[in-house]
Amino acid sequence: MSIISLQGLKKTYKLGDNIVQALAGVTLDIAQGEFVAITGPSGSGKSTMMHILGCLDRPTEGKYMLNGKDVSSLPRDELADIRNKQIGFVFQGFNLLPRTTAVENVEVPLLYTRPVMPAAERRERAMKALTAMGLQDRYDHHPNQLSGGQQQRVAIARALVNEPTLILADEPTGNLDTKTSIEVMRILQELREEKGITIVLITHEPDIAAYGTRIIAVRDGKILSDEPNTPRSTLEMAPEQIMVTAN
Amino acid sequence: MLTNLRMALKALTQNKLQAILTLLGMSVGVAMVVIVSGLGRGAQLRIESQIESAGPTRITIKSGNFTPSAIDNSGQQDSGGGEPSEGIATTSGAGGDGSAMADLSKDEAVLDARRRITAPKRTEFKSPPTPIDAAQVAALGKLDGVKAIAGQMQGNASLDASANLPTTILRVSGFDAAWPEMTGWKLREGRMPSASEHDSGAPVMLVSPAVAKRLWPDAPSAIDKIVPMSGKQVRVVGVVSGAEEKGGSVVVPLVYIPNKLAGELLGRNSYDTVTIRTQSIGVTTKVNKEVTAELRRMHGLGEGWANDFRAETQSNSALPGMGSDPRLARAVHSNSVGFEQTSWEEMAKSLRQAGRTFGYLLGGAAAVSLLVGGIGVMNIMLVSVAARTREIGLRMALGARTQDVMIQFLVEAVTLAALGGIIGLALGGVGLYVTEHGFHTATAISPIMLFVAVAMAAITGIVFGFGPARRASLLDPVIALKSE
Repeated sequence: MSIISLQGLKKTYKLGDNIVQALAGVTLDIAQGEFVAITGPSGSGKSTMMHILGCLDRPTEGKYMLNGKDVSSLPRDELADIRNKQIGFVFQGFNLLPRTTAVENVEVPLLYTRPVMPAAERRERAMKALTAMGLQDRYDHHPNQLSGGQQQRVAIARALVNEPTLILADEPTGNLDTKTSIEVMRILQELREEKGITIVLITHEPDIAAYGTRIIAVRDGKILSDEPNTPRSTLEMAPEQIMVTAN
Repeated sequence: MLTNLRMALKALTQNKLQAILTLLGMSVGVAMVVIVSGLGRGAQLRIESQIESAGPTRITIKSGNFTPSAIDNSGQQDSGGGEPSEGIATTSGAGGDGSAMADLSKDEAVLDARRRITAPKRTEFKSPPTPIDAAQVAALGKLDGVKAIAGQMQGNASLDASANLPTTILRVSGFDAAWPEMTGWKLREGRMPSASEHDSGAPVMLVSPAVAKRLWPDAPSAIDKIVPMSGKQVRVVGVVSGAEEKGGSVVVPLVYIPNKLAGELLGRNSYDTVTIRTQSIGVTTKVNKEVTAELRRMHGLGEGWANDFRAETQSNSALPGMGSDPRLARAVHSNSVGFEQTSWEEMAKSLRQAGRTFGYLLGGAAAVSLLVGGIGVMNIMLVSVAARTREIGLRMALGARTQDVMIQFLVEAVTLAALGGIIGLALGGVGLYVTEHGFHTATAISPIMLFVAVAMAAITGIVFGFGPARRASLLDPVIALKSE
């Protein structure tokens, strides 16, 4: 069953007097359990695509079915609920709240879950998500006390805390060195393999796209190519790097 | 909610200097409200008490036959309370010479007054005065408009030989249970006699601090001292100040005892004086008339018989004592029905009006400073929203609804304003203290005003926080996320 179904998706912006067409008719189906890497240079429309896929923005034209539901023209607050329950975001800049501990950062999505979740349950679920990322010992650290890789793992824990069916990763390795990037990709692969979570990864690095099971290239708001891929193994790294993800 | 509050406090600590400045602005506003309301209420209370004390709500009834009130036939002022007559018919003639007022003869009011004074008076019969006793006082107390009533009797009582005090005679003044409050006695030490002691005439007495000092110069306290008089062991139970010293002297100190006991010591059951407090200024003259009619009825005085008592309102009795021409005084006196009912009320009205105007003026100043505080709150909230656009975008991406963002920023604004409000209360308290003790201006704080001040601060927070909070909640998540 396809979790994402895009039909003739268009998005136009008005920039002053110019009308910019960011997406020029995208039709696409993503099945559950896929690890899709969307690549393209800047200005190709991949970010716009990611915003629409993430229910942060609405298409100008076309239809977006998420988990069998048409979300193309839902009102603001309903989109917020969908983002909260069904989608986990991982951003390039981590986007953690400063001066806020790791566990509190992970709790943020749970603050907006309806019905309201008791504080104790929020804490319990956030700790569970942090533990899954091997960061249980760092729960009371502030982001500036964590390394880049650790920060991104906190962000992944935050994306997972509400048990979404879809994870949207927008250049998740953009601010990380190669070693740490591989770690993060390994985590994403494991999430797909072990929990069957669908992953959509936006990247401009072919190296990173190679970890997906399917690579979609975007140019000028259109799909240039869409091909299955044999995922690159994350085991190609040194043993001590595997240690970090093992726990 | 608690999470929101924690988030708000955290956010505020991130902009410490701005938050502190805003707090300052807010607290000055609230402090103004507190000070202003304290001053305004103090002024109002003072005006009320001035009206109260200036207003003639007191009626004094004295037993005995008197020549027409305060003035005798020869035009001499009689401030001593008049002479009880011998129970024979007397004629109040139209004596007195009008020459003293000749220079005023062109004044219409004076002419009118003179006509009243020089008009021939009816012949009235006088009967031996009927004593006023407790039963009559009780009956008068039931009249409409009477707030409190108390009888008094005074007389000398000799001390027993065993007394061993610097005097052998005491002037005893009997009083009723209602009396201390009516006259504003203040208890310095000990207690007032209880209701049952009043009823039973228990051997208890009150003394003034001066008398206590005179009778027992060496004792630290007069409480529980025993004074044996006429075979009774009278115990001092309280020391009161504010009592009138009238009737006592250095040689014969004045002490206060329950009326029942005074009656036993003095061997009579009639009062010298009965004092009435009326419910308001406006009804005093009316009550006075009713009291007079009721007493005349109880004393069996028919048409053509003079009063065998004198019932005077406060302003009546005050007038002859002002050193004015007695005839003029009497002229005013005879007009004082209207004088009391209108002029006191007019005066009270204009005083209250002045008090209200004063209050509005101060209230306006307070409102302006709250407004300034509110603008400060709005300013810091706008800055906060601008500085945290990215955070807002993130929260939205993670599922925050419009309302969630709105509440977050509103809670922040209200927290700031309410904190300012609480600090303002403290500042205002200090301000009032300084005003009261440094400038000797009466102030009064009402708990409701304190609550209102903090509530107003919080409302200011909501009102001025609404705009920024709304702006935050309506941000486009995509744009907000991209901002730096």
